[in-house]
Amino acid sequence: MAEERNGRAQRSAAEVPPPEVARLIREIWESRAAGSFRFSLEEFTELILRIADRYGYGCAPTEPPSIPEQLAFIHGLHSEELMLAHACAQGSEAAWERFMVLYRETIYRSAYAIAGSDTAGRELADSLYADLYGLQTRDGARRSPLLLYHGRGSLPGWLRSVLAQRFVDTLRRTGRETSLDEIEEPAQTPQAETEVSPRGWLVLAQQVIQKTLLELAAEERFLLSAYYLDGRTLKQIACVLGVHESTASRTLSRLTDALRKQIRDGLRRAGLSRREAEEAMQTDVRDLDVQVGKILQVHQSAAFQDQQVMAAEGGEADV
Amino acid sequence: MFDESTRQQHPEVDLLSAFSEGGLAGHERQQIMEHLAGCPRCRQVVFLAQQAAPEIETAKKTVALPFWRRRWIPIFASAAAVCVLGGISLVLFQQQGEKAKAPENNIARQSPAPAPVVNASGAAGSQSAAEDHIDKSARLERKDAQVADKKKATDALKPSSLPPQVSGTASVSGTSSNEVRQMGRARELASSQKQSALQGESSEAAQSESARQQVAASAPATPPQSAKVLAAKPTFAASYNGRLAAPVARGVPSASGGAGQSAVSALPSGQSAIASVDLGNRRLVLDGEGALFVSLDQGAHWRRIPQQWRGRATALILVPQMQKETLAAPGADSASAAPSADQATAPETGVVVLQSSGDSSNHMAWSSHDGGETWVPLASSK
Repeated sequence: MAEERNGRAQRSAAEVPPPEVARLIREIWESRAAGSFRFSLEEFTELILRIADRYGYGCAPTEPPSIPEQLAFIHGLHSEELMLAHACAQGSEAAWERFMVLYRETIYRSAYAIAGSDTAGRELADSLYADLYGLQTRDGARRSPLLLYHGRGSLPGWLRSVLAQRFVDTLRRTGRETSLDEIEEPAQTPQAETEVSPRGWLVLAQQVIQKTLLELAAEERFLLSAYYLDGRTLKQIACVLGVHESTASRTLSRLTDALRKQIRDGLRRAGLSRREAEEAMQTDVRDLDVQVGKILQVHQSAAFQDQQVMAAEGGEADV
Repeated sequence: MFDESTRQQHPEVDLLSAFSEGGLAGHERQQIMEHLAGCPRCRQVVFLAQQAAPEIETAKKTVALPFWRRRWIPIFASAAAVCVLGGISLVLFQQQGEKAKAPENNIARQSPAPAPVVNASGAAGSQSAAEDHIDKSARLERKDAQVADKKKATDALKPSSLPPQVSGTASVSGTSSNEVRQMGRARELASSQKQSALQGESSEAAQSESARQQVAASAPATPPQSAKVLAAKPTFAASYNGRLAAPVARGVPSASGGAGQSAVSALPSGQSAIASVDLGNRRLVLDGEGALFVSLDQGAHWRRIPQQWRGRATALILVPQMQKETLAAPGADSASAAPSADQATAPETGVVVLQSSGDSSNHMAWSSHDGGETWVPLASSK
């Protein structure tokens, strides 16, 4: 899949874009005053098309994007911030001055908020600031993480995410505060057992719970993981999901009720009577050998592996 | 920078930030959600980045209130304000209604039917002057009546087994037409009106709220030959220098002049007394139905006086120095109404009853000189 994507990107870059797409790119280039950052229309078109091909215009890889989908994707890019970021990465002093005026305070404030202290926050922000300026070199050339900004989200949001990622990685690498379960390899998909284990319905309950959790949708598993495993509040989860806190609360309540019902029904289908199923539902969770975190990690999509491979092949540095 | 074991399994930071900002849809969002559901590291990154976004926090706070609540809050607030104002208005309206109800009830008890305006002089020219004065005095009396009503309303709240209530007044005075014009300043002389009953030198405005029941009558210097009911107006004009059914507060002795009440028992009719006069050891009482009762033991026992007129009596007037001749009606039966010469020259206390027929347009005045036992018609008018 990575090869297919990479090939499509190279093919798209070489080909002439459709007239509608070319017209839109030109309009954006003119309206964003790209010339002030020494961005030619050809360079800007190439950058946009490269990003569009990288993400497949935001569509599923099974279907080629239509012209409206292409236009929507290009129109949804933060093109002005994209040009600023790439101009900074290319060493434009004007772009860098503008970047400092606009985002320097954002970087430090976000670092303080993420690190939780001024000292750690300043250290985190200074580290990123130096990297953004291009102090890192690869093959004798400056490599700025700003090249990895593709305009899918806002530049301040990308900066916050980079800061958060660095902070988390630092903690996981040095702090050892995180649970070992989180850095373990994803668990293997549990094999369905047809026979009741010697421990009776306790083992049967474990199997039913695992099966039920595996059947959950991605958003439901995210909700359960964030709330029960990470200890996030409903307000935080609602902010990430873009819903109201009460909506998240209702969704979680319905989800837990549905889980109980599905587990109870699964126990009944496995041969337990109603009373036995009720007793199994009253089991102390400490008696169950169910690694919920591992079960929820099973469904990680492999799509990002392709992207990371492509990024590595393309020579783009990790943040 | 990344852990090699997890390096190829995480989405780009660009996608994570776009996911946090809601910039992904469909396929990409589903992919990120799938990954976040099982990747604690990326979840932590997303939540930390979201936590560090003050503008997102502010936006979420703004969105925190649902649309329907934001839309209905002003409507609910307006409705609540209207309800509060309506409640306050209702309370104030009820309070005003209660205040206005007390005097109206008193007036209703005092004057169940319009009573005539009696002008003893019969002079047409004095009628308008007398009416002007009546209007003035009526306004003044209303003010006095309001004060009395407040006091009465306060007394009414006290639980007591009080005797039949006597209310309503009418002043009776014999005045000439010229003297009627001087009634404006006669109010100050109201306290001495008892001594100048037939003299007509002064008149007074009755101190009651029954301004509508005042009887206008003027008495000439010489004893008038007849008494005449001028008109059946809703506002009674004061005329005779006397009192009837003075609005006396409960338990308060009547004023000197005969009108008033003392502790009496309930009337046999069960009605409340609207007028009462004292004639020495006799007490006459008129109830709300127009029936007349007499008591010889200061109200301990009552006896109904046979009614000699049709319709209902609406007012009872005490005339302390009423001369029989002057009140004799020309058209009255000579056998029963014509007084003797001795009686004509000897003023004595008399009682006048104003009677109204059923259609309330024909009114008559009846007088009695024997304590209410027998009555003779004085005059009638339509």
